[in-house]
Amino acid sequence: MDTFDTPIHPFRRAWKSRSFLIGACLATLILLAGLVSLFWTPYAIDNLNVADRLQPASWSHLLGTDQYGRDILSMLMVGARTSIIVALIAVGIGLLFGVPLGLIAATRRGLVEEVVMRVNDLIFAFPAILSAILITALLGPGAVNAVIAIGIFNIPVFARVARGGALALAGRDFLLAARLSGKSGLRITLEHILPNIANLLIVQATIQLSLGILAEAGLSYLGLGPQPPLASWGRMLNESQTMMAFAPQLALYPGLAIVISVLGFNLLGDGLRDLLDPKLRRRIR
Amino acid sequence: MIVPVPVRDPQADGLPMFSYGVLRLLGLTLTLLAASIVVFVVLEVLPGDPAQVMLGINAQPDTLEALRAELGLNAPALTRYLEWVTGMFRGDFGISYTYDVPVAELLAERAWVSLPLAVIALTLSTALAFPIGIMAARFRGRALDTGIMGLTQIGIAIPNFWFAILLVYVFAIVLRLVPSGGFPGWDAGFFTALQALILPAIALALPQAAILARVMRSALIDVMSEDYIRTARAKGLSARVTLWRHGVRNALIPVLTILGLQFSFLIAGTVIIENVFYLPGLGRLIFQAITQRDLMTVKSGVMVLVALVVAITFIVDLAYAAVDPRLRRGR
Repeated sequence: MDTFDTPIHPFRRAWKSRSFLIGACLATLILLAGLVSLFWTPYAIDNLNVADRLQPASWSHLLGTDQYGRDILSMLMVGARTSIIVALIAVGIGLLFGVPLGLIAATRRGLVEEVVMRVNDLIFAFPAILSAILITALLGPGAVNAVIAIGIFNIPVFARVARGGALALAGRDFLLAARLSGKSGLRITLEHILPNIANLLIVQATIQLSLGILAEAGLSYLGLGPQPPLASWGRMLNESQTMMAFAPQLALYPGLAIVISVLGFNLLGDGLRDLLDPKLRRRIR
Repeated sequence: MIVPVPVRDPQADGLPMFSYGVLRLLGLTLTLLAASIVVFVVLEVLPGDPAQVMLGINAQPDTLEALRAELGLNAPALTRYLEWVTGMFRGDFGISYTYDVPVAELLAERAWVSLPLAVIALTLSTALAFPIGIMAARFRGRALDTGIMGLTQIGIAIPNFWFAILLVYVFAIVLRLVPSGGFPGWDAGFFTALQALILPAIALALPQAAILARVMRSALIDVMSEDYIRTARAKGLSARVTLWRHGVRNALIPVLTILGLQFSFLIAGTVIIENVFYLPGLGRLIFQAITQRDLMTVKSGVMVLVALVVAITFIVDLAYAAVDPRLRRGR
């Protein structure tokens, strides 16, 4: 297993971890594309230009155009922004609600813990994709509802990680010392437990980010994600399907963009796990 | 002489199998009950009047009222909830608003597409993942292992519906080997029907196989570092026999748990895949019912899927506990 026995400077370790390096590069690429799209894209994506439809790749359109004459590279850049924002806020919802719930369950124990964990199990019993479809379809398609639908399923994940991490710390000397020095339960949780489980949470957040990107793509593929004029990779794939026979490249690029971002954040999560806690065994998803 | 009495530590040994099963069954029932309340309340609270959707926006108020009465929408929520739940115990899942046939009939008919699809996909993914995972574990740390692990990372990152679209392009549009979508029904002949399910099953299986191969690899690596493996080698078993008889067999325990999870995941995953291939399965039925506000079909359909997921988890837990008594402790 990739343990680092002698203490090496974290930067040197990061340099040596292949997953971390590749993951960081891919994730940066996607983040940059999304960031740049806020200020500049090669073409405006709400600019329908039927005369330029289905252009092959050329110097004026690096990846060609779609059936409405929109520049594909520009669409992909805006799509990167859409999916990262949706996934990021969904992770934020999970952290915001899940972590406190998990910590309360771990520190209070007893009935409170039982209730929190049973509600967790209940959410896990619902197939996540199906419920997200149910929520977005009934609330109406759109970016905000997609965020809510994906975010709800992040809550039990973070609650579980936070509780597990906090329980593993229970009874450690530094917690007893803090209690002896007269700190309240809340202060101990915030000042001593939370910083010690931050690593776990960061790693889980990267993984949920990549799952969120996949979920957003799935929802928009079904037409339930962010609506036009916002571009989204999933809807680009959906629209490409009718053009399959004439323009298969339309189906290629958005899919590759999804793979690159999901792969990037997964590898980043794996790398971070090794870097932040060498003792922790590699887990799969 | 004092004979040491073997002390049964209830914490370590756990409950007897029967009590454990009864306890878990009780938990399962409670979960299902809670789930039914959630599904009912969510559909109750969210906007959308089925009578309005069925009749269109130009419907007369009295026609609307008559239809609401016919559908039983005017009864108090609690009455409707109890009717729905007790009905499901009797096999009565309500009447579909759009198709005007019993929902149970619809679900049963569509299950004949989704369940075979999920089973084929699971078989494919297992058949792929086991040898790959075992190979990676055997050649751990070498180029082959690194290559396989890299490929599985990519496999996990590929959305199954994109993979499905690519498969359609290559095998249906370019090579014209299989139909690009639709389902002729099992009446059209076993192999004709099977053909329509092959591409969807492959699309579902690939990402699952990537995850499963990684689980198989790490489980096997864990097991192979156990003392009993060294003992097996020390008593003269060959490396191959040790790997298969003691390694793989013990590694299967955690792998089976993941397999159970994956089956439920596959059933949910069919929602998107069935839409790519226009397959008349459970997922597509529920998806269309949602968009058409056919709430009775949505309610009962979702409950059936949840029940399937919960039941599979239960069976896997039981099998797991039967093998390993330490797990009967409860959580």
